[in-house]
Amino acid sequence: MKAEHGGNIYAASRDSQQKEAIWLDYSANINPLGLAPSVKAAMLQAIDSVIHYPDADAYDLKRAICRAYGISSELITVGNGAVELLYVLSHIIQPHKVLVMAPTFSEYERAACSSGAQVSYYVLHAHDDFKVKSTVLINQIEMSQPELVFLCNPNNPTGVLMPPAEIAEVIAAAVKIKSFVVVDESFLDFLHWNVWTCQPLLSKFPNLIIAHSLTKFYAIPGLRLGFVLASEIMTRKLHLSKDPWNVNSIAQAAGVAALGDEVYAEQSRTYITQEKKFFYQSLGKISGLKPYEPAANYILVDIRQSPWTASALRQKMMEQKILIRDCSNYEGLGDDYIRLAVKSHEQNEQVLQVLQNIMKGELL
Amino acid sequence: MTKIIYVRHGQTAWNLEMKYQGQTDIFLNSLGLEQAEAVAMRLASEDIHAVYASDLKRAYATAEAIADKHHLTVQSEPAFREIHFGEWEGLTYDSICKQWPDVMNHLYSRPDEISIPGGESFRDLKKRAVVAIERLVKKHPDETIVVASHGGTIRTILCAALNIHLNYVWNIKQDNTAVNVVEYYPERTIVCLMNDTCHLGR
Repeated sequence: MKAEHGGNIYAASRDSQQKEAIWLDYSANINPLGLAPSVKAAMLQAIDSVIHYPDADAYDLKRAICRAYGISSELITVGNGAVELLYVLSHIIQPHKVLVMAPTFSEYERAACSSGAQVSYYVLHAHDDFKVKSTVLINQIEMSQPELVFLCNPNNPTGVLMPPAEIAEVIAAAVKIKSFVVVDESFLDFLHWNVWTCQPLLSKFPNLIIAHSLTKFYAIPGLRLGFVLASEIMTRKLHLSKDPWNVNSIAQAAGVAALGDEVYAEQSRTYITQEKKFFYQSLGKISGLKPYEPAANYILVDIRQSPWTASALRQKMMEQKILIRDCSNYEGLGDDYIRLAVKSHEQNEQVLQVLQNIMKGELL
Repeated sequence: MTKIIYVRHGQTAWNLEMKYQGQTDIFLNSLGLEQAEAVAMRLASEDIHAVYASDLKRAYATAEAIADKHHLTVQSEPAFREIHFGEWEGLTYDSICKQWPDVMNHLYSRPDEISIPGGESFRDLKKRAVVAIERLVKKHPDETIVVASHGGTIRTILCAALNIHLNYVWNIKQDNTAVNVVEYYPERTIVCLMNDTCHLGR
């Protein structure tokens, strides 16, 4: 399996044989407001501390997570990105069978395979707008008897959001067959997290694990930072299984600053709320494109009605120095889908213009 | 039996600033829009025949989120507007207290007996809302409908359903996007659910 992700600007500029770097990366779903000045300042200030080991307890960072998300620190494990912890989890649980949605973020499957699991899919359908049907999902859990189920809420790349009450039903079904459920809430910060999080279910379900990336919302994917919330027992196991210094000093300092910057968070949410609506509605007006309504800061677009395949369109957009996500390597999606990030208004206008021209054939 | 699901609108900037809105047409803020989506998801599996809403934007938009899931169009109904708060609209509790200390003294203890300067009384509100409800009950026998409205209006409608004196209107809590369910039988009215916000997680 070849793991491809958005945001690979290095390979993209190598492949395109263009000396100049890609100037618009629409393939990675990163906060368009960019690095918060408070976070940058904290990172610069932390530079001198790299002569010491990072705090293995991540005390300040965990306290910042406690404050921001209202969770006690015994349930928190911090990671060098949330993905690191998914691999650690898979190695702890050692599942024989894992259930993932299709399409979804590919690292769940890779993490499962890395510990030797067999993966089965809960296939989401275009004709249902990729909606997750909890009753169907529960059926499949009962049929395939996995030891680990990965859910992504909102799902990436479809942008479909599941209400926590339905996720609770899924978790309750998984408890019965002693399966763990990981709910990846990495994009919930772009929404009002507390409306959608499964966190209140943690006290009820010891088999629930919540993954939360901080890299998308705080625009620090190059730094790597995330955390996992789980039962006390699982949290202890995670700490025993991971590298004690997995989160470096600079990332810890950045996380503390980021989680304390409520102004940046509120501005980002307000911006994305407006801009995703504008971008979604404008994409819908371009003939040949069918965007799916986004919950977070990325939009899945069906291009079946256009003369383009995803790979050809990606190539064409590259000529305009715009990198988009060709979704053909997502399990369950063919060569008919692309994913676009929601970026700044000016950039979105530019991309809309380019797409408009390509779809009209003017750039052929 | 007609089942009516009453839903209060999502959060607005004025809710956050604790300003009395009345019939001032304030739209939902971004949290309010998400709350509307959450309540819409929650009601998606209900067999809903029609969606009505106050014509004020905050209630109408909340209703639209609900109606979308059922491929229905929202029917706007001015009778479900919030109580008219007259000169108080846009003011906070503290500033109203300063200007109208006597009336404000009674707003929470004897709401049925006060007249809000330039505004409506709870009795006026009850009259217009209940007439509209009776009309909808007749129009939708053996059906389930949604009415998206406001804190004051829904409290008043619930007082009517429970046959509680309007002086106790504030004894009922109404959070943003609260779900309330009332069944209207020919011989009696049964309140099944009040101020339920389980769709909001916490």
